[in-house]
Amino acid sequence: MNHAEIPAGGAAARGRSTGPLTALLNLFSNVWFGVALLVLLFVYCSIGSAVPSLRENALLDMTEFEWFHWWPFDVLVVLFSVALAVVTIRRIPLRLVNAGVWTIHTGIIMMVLGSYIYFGTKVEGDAPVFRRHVKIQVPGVETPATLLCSPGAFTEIGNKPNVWRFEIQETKTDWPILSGDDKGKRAYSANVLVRKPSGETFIRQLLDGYPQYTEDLVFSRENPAPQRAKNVLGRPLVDEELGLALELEPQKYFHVMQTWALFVRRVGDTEWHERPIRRMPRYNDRIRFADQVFATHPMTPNPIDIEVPAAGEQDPLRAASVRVKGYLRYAQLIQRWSEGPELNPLLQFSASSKEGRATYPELLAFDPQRNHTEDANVEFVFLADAKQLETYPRDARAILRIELPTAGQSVDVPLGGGTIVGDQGSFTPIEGTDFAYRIRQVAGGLQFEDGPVSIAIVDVKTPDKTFTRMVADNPRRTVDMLDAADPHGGHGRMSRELDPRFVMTYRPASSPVSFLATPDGRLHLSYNGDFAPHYVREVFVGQPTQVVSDITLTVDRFLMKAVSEVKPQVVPPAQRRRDVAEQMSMILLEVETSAGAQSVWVPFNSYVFPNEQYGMGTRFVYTPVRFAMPDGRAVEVVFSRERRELPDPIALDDFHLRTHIGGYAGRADTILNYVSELRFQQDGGWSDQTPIMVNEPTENGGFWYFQSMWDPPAQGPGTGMNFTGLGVGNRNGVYVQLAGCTISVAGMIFAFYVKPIIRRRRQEKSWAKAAGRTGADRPEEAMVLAD
Amino acid sequence: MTNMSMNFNRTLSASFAASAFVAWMGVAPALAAEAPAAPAAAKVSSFASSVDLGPLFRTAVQADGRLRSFESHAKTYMGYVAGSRPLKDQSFGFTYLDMIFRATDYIDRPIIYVKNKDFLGQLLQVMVEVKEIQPAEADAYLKTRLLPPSLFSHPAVRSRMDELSRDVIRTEKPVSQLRGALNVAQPALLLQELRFVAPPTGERNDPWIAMRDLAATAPRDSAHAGMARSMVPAGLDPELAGSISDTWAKLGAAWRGEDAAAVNVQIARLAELVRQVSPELHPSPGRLGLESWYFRWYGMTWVWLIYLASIVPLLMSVIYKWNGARRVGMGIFFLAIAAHTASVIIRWIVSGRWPNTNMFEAVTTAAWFGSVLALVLEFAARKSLMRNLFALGAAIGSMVALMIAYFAPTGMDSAISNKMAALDDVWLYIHTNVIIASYALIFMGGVSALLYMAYRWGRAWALKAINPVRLMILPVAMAICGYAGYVLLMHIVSPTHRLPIEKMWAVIAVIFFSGLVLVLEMFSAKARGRAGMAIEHAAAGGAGTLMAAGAQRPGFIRLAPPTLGQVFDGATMVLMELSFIMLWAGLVMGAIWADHTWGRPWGWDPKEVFALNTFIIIIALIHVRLKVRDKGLWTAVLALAGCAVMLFNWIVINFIIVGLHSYA
Repeated sequence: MNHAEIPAGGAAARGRSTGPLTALLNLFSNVWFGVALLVLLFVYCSIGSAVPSLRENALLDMTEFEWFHWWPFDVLVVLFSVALAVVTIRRIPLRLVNAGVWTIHTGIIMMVLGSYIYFGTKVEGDAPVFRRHVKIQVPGVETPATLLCSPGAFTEIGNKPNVWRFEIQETKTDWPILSGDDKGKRAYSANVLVRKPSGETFIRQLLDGYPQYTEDLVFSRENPAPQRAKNVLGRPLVDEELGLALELEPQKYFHVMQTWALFVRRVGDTEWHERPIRRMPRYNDRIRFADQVFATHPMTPNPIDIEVPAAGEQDPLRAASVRVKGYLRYAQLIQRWSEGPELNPLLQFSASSKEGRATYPELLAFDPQRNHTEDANVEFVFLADAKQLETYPRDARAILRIELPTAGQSVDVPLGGGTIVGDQGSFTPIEGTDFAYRIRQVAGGLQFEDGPVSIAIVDVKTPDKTFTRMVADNPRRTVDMLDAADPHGGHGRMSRELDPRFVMTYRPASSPVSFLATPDGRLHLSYNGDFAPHYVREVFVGQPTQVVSDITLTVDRFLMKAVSEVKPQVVPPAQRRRDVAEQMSMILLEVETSAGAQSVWVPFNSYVFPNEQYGMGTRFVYTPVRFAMPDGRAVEVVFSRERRELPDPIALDDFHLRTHIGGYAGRADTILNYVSELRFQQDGGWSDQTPIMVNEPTENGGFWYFQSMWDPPAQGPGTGMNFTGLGVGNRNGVYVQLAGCTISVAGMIFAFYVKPIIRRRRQEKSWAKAAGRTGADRPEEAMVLAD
Repeated sequence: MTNMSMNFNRTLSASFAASAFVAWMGVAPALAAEAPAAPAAAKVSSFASSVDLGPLFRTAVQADGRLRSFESHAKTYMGYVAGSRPLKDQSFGFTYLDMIFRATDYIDRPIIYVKNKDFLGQLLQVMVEVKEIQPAEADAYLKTRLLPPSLFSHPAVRSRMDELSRDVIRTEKPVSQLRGALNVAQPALLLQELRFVAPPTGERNDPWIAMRDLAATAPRDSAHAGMARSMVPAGLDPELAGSISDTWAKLGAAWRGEDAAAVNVQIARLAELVRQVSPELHPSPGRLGLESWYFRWYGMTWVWLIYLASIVPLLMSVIYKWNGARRVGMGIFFLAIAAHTASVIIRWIVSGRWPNTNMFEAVTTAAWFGSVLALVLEFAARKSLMRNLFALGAAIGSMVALMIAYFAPTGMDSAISNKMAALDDVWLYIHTNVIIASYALIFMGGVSALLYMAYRWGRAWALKAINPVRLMILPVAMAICGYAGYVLLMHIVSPTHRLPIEKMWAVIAVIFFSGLVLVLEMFSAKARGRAGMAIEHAAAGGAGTLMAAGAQRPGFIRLAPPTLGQVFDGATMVLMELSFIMLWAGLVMGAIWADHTWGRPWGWDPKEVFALNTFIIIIALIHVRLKVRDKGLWTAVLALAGCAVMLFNWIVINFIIVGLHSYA
């Protein structure tokens, strides 16, 4: 590339006629025009890449990809390519010495063309592929159900009261085969916890590829650890009619990167209907009113209103108007309390000691489950009359009240060291009756669906029998044990049908610290513990109160009429993690039907899954939001990304790691590679295993599959590994790009290293000719040559 | 040589020496703050100096998916605690064992290194507020950045750390580093991570046995006679496990008693015992010894001193064309390359892969590529006047690279880590190595371009055609504009370097005016005319210059000898052309790799965008050179711009704008 080859274009052009086309061609032939375009490209690229805040601002709101596919960039590249073509054709004579320049310019134009094909047709996305599901065939139910193999995932089958419950308790990737031809091999295993409608519970262990080794594990009274049914019952399966089998879990779809879509379906349906959302913001929060959200930083209202049109005839919301009315990039829905119209005392407090400071969750005086702390040391009580302060506390001891309706008698037994005698103690007769009781033990903090429960275990002796009653502070939880000899019970031996001859109530000991709210809006603290004499004193928000020598409580918030509000809390920009990207985003969706408009914040889900199992025990979120329809049915909606069908359904047969020395130790740098063994569903069957790993993708039906995500073992080797994440994309035109790049490299080598040799040879020839002509020393000619 | 050119040469060498000195004075104090202590410090305690860890230096430890020598392992873990410098008077290995055996001695000893100064300042403020330390102590800690672990246990400090960890942009990373340091400083963790004993199964993928598991077995001494020995790890010979555990217990006792002779005996015994378990899994003692030596000697980054020694004679040979200086300079340069090559090969052997995986390796290997390519170019240019210039550029480049690695070990950690799975690919190898080699060439081109500018400036100074005061404006304006540009750039790209708005406008104003002055002065035709050197550039430019130099011409043709300016300009073009091809080829190979690894050849990642930007500048350079009259000046200006963009890519993009290529 030497300036000598390029004629002085401007001067030559000026000599010719200057029509508009010629002027334009002259402009494109001007090297300075090309250099100016290069400078503009440099500036454009630098801004897009190094100053993300500029392209991410509210006006542009573009991703890197969008910035580099925006029309100004396209215009620059097209102008540059045209200039390159024009200058090459018009100004660089096609000769051997210029072959390098021609090749470079041609190569670059080819690369640009290839890139237009490539990026113009590019589809790129990702898909999680799970390893197995359990096919469930319940006796008496015709259609089989499926349960995703992910520890924690569960499903219930049947109608009440005949409900079967299945839960994946554990999965292992390397269960050793201990017998048969494959002894010593390892297989994928899943343990399913089964609860039959009768309440009977057992575990079924399934081994992938070895259905003949399926067996059940049962629980027994003697041994809390599950034991092989074969050893306990004499047969491998508890229920021969229940069919559970491991199957491949096909994935039919992938989601497209950096897109938005809404998925709708009627509750109970299996198929989703997709509605792409276009022109959505990405980096900037868009709200209509500041009070739509909780935020600790100032937020300027900047509303949006985007219509999300129906996808087709099947769309259950086709008659409704669906609009996006707000967008938050990084927020989470939280619940907060504010002052409302109705009495509902709420207290938030923290405690500090020498060891540090602890904050407790709020207490609600009217909620029996939340009016005391989990450790039961602090309670929150509303006293209807301030005078009760003087008499508070009631007897702090635990009391068991035994009433005998038939005898018209009642006894209050304070529970303390003397009255709790254990299961070997003697019975205490109830005066004037034939009955006697023995208090074995008391226990607190037992977790039930409706909250923690405290119980007193009481043995009762009547003339006809002796039985045990577990008396709970929540009367709904009081039960009689049919076998008095075993307080721990067994399946089906507890009864809620209590012996009517006895009515027992149990009131556990009151907490040592009580916060007492009174109707006048004042708050008092009552101490009733063992480390100081009893006192009652008024407390105020924000003022620390020393309860005992080294424990100080501070009331952080006290509301008499608390009302709960659920709104998105916007995370301040400084606390937003870059790698979270759009995972924490949400939209305010307004659905307007003939019955009126409903607005709900809908959180983003990376994928739209068939059901809730995919959000259980996995790293994925599945949070559909429901809208009530005028016909009484509900429609559920998921906010996610556009979805495309894969050329063939794909399944993960096996996933394993290749590791550095010492094996996987919980850190990424101990992993050599991640291997997904895939199968494609073709012609009604599954293809052979195709391994893919990082740097080794595979192709199927025009799409390439790349290893991109995995399911790390949470508890060490042997767990996790239940799914893989695949990148999916096409790559049209990549060979045109590559060819362009390759020939331009060849051109550069020619231009810089071959052309000088050709020129040197020509120069030597002309020198030789000159020498032959003159045969004399001609310094002046030398100067001419040197210039 | 005419009087005029001798004058110029004197001026040039004086100005070069002066600027080098000024630069050194400016940089040295800042760097010296991080300079490592000499390996054999004078104040080493007698116990520490009498302990012979030699046998352990040749013993393998398995951690983080690698087998390291004990010294290398200790350096990595102590690096998490106390930064990349060894604690005062102690080797990394000694400190590691001392923190296990005499853990309580370290509770109040300043061993926790806090890298981020602003973050440390905020913590120290809390410590002063709660009266844990005096303000004067806070100042001292701020200077050393080493604090005792006990200071972090105060509830107020802990709660401040919690608060700061929520700021993911500014302080989350320093908090997590600090928590990591406090965690690693626990003796239990150090014991857990000390895996001397190979798995008895002999399986490569089985984990090695931690000393914590072996140390938990009761020693066989009179005090523990009859005690059950139930903790022997599965598969390990109980006898051997007992011996290792005994030796460890005795080592601990001797260590606590500061009985160096007994310590040395137990260390030798321990090293011998652990090798008996699955010996086939242990690397050779020679390879481990080499690794320990390599790390004890700062990853051989001191080679910068040899490069430094070659620079002065090479510069003299370029300017004065003295053969003696050339011989000395090239001799020292050869020596430096040999040592540099040795360091690359040692690292290759130790890590088991070509060293180009982290920042330390990318920088030192790029420098090595530059030096090797300079040797090739020196061979090609051995008969031209450009000779020595490539060696000079490479010597400066390699010296700077190794100096950074030597003086800033915390910013550029020399510890060896495993490659990420995505990086394990042959195309990637070629791509990254070609790219970093082209970067080294761009840096060398920057050196010759700077020499060209200095030459032009020196010539004008020597001719006295321009008022010297006015001539001084140029370098001063360049320095001001450069610094202000850097400040603005950091303001734009780094959230931690944000300026208040009024300061930002002041900086923009400074850039504008200094840039204006710079442009006016640099391109003032009048000034150039007065300097009598409007055009001075290599006739054919680039590789053509080299190839035409050897042309057979008839005796009557006497070409005018090229000036120094033409030589500098020609060398810049040789380097720019070569880097043009290599950078483009490297980008293409990167695209091929990305296409089959991530499914797209180009992802607009900042690192690749700025590699493209560097390439765009070189394209502009080649085409601008075709059109302008003052080719030499424009070539130099654009070569320097290309060098600046390349450095921006390497430093700012890597450390501040994190992208996919953040590993190197």
